Amino acid sequence: MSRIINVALKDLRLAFRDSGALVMMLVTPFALTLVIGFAFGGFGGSSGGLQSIAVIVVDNDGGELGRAFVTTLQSPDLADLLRTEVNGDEVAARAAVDADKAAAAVIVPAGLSDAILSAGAGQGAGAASQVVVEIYANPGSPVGAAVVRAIVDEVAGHISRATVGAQVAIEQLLANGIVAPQDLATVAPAVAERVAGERLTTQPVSVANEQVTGAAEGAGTGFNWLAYMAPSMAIIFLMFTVTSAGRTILAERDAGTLARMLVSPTTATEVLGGKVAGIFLTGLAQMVILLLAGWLLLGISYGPFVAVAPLVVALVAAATAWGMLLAAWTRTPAQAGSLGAAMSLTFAALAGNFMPRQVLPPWLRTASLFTPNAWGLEAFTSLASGGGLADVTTAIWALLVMAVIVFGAATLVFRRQYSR
Amino acid sequence: MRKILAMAWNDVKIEFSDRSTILFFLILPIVFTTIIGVGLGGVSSQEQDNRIALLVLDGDGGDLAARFVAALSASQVVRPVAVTASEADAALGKQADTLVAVPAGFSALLAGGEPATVMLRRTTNDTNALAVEQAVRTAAASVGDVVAVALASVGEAEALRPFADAPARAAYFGRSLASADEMLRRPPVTTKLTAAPTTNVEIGDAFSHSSAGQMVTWVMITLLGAAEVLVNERLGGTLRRLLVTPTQRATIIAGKVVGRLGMGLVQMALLIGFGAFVLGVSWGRSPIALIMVVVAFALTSVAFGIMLAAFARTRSQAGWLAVFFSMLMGALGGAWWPLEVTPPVYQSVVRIFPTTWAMRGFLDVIVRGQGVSGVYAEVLVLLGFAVVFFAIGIRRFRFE
Repeated sequence: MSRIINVALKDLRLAFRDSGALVMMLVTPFALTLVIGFAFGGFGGSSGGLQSIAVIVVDNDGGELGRAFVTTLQSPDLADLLRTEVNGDEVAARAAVDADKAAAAVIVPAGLSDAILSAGAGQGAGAASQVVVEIYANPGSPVGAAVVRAIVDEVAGHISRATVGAQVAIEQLLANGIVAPQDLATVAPAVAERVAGERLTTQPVSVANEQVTGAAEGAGTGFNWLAYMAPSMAIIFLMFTVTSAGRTILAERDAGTLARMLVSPTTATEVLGGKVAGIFLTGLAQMVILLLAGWLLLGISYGPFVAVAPLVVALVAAATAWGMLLAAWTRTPAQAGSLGAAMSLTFAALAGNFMPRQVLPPWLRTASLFTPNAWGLEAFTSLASGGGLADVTTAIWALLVMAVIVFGAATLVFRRQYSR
Repeated sequence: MRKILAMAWNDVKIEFSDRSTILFFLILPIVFTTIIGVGLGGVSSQEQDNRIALLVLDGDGGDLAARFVAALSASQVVRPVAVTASEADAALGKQADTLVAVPAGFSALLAGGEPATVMLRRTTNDTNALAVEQAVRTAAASVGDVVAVALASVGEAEALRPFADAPARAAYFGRSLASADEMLRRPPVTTKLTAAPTTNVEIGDAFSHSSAGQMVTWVMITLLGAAEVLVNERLGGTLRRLLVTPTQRATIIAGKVVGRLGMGLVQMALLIGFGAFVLGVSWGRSPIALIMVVVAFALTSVAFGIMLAAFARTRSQAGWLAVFFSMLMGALGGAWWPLEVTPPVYQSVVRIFPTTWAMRGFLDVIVRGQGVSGVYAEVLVLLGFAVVFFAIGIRRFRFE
């Protein structure tokens, strides 16, 4: 056992003395995590996500309802989200959007207030003709344009509700003989005002949220890019590390140091065991350093320690097994290097390391479960949503079983290679 | 010129003598582009229902509950899956990650003028859960609006002439509800999303960003790989031997640049072709504008590779510097996520990277459908970067 540990510690020291390896193991993933933190507001005091979406409002109406769109878009409540400019020139507004100076231009048509207010006051029976508020979007800012549309839709919906409310009330009063046609002109404006001002102020149907996995709403109210991408980057580079470390076995074989170790009173099993342990320890150290750095510097919370610790151990074990299988199967260090990088990147793409796993189609999410990346991401996502050990037990067991199976396959291939 | 081309062709042959080169040059980029395309629905079948599954437990069974479920069915975001009370707990987390429960008495409460609540239970807090919540709120609001209008109508009638009895009130409510439903199906004020006539993609199509982002990332890896090759040749003495021949240093460097540039251009052409003909990706309306951005970006990347080679001392150093910079600049420049979701300060800072300008150029062509005049600024900036990187790299470059 002491020989295995010695070989393992030797490899661990070598890994951490290689500046190039350190750049790949620690500097690059941490730099990417910092970039992500900067991009999504992971640093204290700065808010991430969408901010200051530039929107131009062109109020061709000028009436009460046109001003409602302007007032809403200029609301202090939306001051962080939107940067609203009011412009009377529709052509200039469209040009600004085309020049990528705004996410969207909201163009309120002339006559909006007249058409809607007269319809609401019952001066036209039946449905009013539709008035369309145009949102001229910047195709290069799809997210910003969607946010602007959602806000404008809400204002439009509010106006429509009030208008239809007045129309239905007046229509039913007439249809049921409660109000005579000759009294309509007197009654209708007051009905319209009451309906819009008093009777339609609340939404009768509400939606209550319940998070079943257990932490309360404090677990987060939105997709946390940082909590997803930080472990995601760590997992990608863990795979780079273990596949690269597996290459060193071949390099040692080619350089003759492996043969020299076998001449010593160290069995092949002890040498291989030490190599495996060294790769495992290197990967574990890398994950721990990266996750700690994310926690200390970016305030990322990965979940309860009792869940994160076994998850990381199982993840590194499974990744190490894949690194060993690669080393067993390839013939030269260069081959192992190329295929290792290819495997790491392919696993990352399939499992969702580069984009939220949730946007992948279900069949791809299932198919990618042969990778340690997929189980790792599922588990970290679950923990970030407020889950605990019970929620990641399946992933931990799956990773450990994967480690055993893949390592078993690697051992068989190794034996076949070295018995020739 | 012949010497330049000869050296360039020689470098290409050496590069592709290692069969693993084809892996990074073509196979992986194609695999990635396909996965991204499939992942974001770029090539999904029209017959497939890719909406997010939402379990629906209707504990009420009344008209208004049915309207709520119908509103969910009409959603473009969620695909309702009806479950019974006994199936709900088992199905949640397996068949779907979210469940909406309509309580018993929902319809009666609303008809009686009382508020009612639907319960949304979820097992995750991810982007899908947020989208489902928004869809449920939209459906709830659509039912709520109709009910609110009907109740308002009942209230106005009651204020003028009280109803004889509860059935009369209920009948009035029913008629008002039907009228409100019909009118709100065609609301008086609606919105329409438009864009410039040259727009090349559907508004909201995030895949357009990822196809450009994939190309920027992979081509950078290939072209920055020039650093490792050059350092290897320097340490191996090949460059020193070339100097002994009647070949000027500028010719040698030009040969190296042309070889690597040619590889990058071929790689991009293959990726663009694969995307266009196999995945149906639209690469814009102006092939010339696209070519301009492609060439400018390729030149910048090769120049950066030359500069890296000038500073790197070992092959390993050059290798990891290339990976480090290509991934970092790709991420920073908007190749991995759209810059519009980042803070304004971030968007300003990242303008110092050539990848930011490359992404802008590609998006101008691919998304905005702009032509040559629309990409002048980005192309000029990229060429400026290329000049600076070449100047630094050539000045510091050592042949031995």
